[in-house]
Amino acid sequence: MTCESVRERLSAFLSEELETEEQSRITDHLEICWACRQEWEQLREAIAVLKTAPAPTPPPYLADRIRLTTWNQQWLVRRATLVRQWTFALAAGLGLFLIVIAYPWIEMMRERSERREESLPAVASAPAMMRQDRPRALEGKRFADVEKPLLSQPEGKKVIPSVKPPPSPRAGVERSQRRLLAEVPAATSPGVFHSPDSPFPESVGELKPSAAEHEQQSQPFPTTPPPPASSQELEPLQRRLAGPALLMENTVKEEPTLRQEERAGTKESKTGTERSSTERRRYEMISPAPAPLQKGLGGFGGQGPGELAGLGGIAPFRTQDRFAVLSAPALGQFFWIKVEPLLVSSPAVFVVGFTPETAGPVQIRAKPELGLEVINLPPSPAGQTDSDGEIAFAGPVSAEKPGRVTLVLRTSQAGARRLRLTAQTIEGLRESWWVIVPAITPGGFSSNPSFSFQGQNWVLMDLLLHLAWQSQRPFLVPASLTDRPVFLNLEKASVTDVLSQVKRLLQVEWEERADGFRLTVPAFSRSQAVPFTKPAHQ
Amino acid sequence: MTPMEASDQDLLERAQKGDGPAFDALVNRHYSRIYGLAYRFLGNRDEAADATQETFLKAFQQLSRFRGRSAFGTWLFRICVNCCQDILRKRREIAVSQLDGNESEDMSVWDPNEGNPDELISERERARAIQKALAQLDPDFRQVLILCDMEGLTYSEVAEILRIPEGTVKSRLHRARWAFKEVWVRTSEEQGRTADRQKRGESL
Repeated sequence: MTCESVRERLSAFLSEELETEEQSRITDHLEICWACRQEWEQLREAIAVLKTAPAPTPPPYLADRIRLTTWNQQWLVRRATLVRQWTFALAAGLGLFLIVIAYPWIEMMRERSERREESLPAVASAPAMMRQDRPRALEGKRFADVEKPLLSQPEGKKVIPSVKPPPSPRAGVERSQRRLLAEVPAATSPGVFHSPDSPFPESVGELKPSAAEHEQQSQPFPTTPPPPASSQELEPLQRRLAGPALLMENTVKEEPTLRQEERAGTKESKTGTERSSTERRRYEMISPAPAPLQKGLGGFGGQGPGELAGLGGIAPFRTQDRFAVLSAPALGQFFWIKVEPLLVSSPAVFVVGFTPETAGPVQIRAKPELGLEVINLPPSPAGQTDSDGEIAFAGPVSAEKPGRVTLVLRTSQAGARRLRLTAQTIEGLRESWWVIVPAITPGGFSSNPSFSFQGQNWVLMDLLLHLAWQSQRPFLVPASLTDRPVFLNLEKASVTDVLSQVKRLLQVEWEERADGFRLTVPAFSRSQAVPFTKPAHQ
Repeated sequence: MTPMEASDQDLLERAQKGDGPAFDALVNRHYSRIYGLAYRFLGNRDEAADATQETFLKAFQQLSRFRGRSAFGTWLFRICVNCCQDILRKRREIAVSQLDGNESEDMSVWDPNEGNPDELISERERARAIQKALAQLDPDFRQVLILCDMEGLTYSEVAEILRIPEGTVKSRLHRARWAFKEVWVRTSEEQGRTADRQKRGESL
């Protein structure tokens, strides 16, 4: 057996694939041939190294990441199915409508017009034609009214029905408040606005038509339509009354309404158009129907107070800087599960849970800010400031099985950092919370039991960044709270002192769990929402 | 029967009917091995994680098309090999120097609880040396070496994964082993020389 033929078979010899006879011949050769033996030893050693190589351990976040992508895939499929089903249902509904209602109606109309034509003289004069057209158009309107009573009713000169006395005192408060804001006639000045804090007068909805002499008293309230007022006149008044929230309301809703009318080519007088737009706005505000959620508007997240006019019937607006409405119905609550101290340049694991109000699939996105990165998620493309960040969790959640968001955080500089978590349901409802984390240099800074405050007026976000840094504890807080002003009458205080004051001022709850603080809005649902908080201080 | 006790086949059937947790259980069962394959083939943690994720995503998307002719694990391996080849195609070739740089800071590839620190360091260095040697091989050789010698699959399984005849697997494996041996011997000699130099430097 030559050296060459032996070496050709060494690999098979290693795998013990050869016949016994050939194997013994090779063993014999290896005993006598030093060069082949050396080759054999090297080969055996190298392959042994390969076979005993330790298996690489996958990174700790990988399983979560895979689960996330597949869930997301399911999510997309499910949403697409949902959209398809809805489209189908809508198309089917429309078809049904055409067959059951529209077609017989058209037939009826045609028959009627034919009958009229028969009864009319052969050559109809032009005015007669016009008279004929009129009832037809009105009849069409009546049909439209059945479909969209709120939008189409105010056209023309119909009398706006006054809002009926509310069934419950609280609902009455809500309605009359909004009505008050929407319906105050433009010609008069706001006068003294009711303190939202005070017991609401029963008479709010029934006050008599106004005149300028009532300026010093609470504003009279008309039950009949207000005199026609241009929106330009109305706006500054409402701004004074309702603060920034209602202004947003106007800018968001009024414009499209006017444009719609232009497009529709309404040939009414200028006054008529203006009035109908005012009235329409009033209907929009009173209507409890949910406003369409738009991406980037913030949804439940509440960057601006005026976003949620329609949702659940509670309009979160601000009257004066110290009065604020206690936000919108919550989708759910985030809470701490695990908190690791975040040291500069080394990763720390934060686990945050999410319990929903109602069970169902939820997507949670994380968007780090202020130099924070989440290393177990792909970085967001630069320049997308309005996005909600990357998906950190996707799947079904319920009160028994909360969603679990694992975040591996890292930052390169000490200081208070923050991250926004946005939960979104499959229907598109969203709610944001902030995670505020102090990043500490190892051994560089120790937490202060009590610390001083330089200013008295704070915005909650700034205050919490300060508190997180001073106490070296992270905070979880609903984003609907973070733009609220806080007046602190403290010079030196501990975290708990400050939080107690915040609790009193903003009517929120706070708790300390898993080495982190959490602020929450007291439990409320759509039916039991409290429309106003107490004034910040008296 | 809980998902943990269920066989791949049971889980698969449930996952095919749209049972999300069943698919999660399959992911939990197989992702380490798929990651290992991808890491050995690509030599880079991030890319290996991407390939693993891509593998399961593709598996999820094609779940209904899986007829069960082969084992689920083998099917995953085939998808993974394809994903790795896609990544390689994008990158063209592994720059050995880049591997050095990337992996030198990587302290978490192996569990720090096992073995004493010295052993651990030598173990890690050995693993890195293996990775470096593998990276110098032709991708075809690397594939068969990893699948046959490191993952311990049979020739027929490897033939199915790579979609080549069994005979080709055998002959390719034999050539790959020799190629690896050459690289490994050369690497060991270089390492030996480096170690000698370091020792001399320390004694001076």
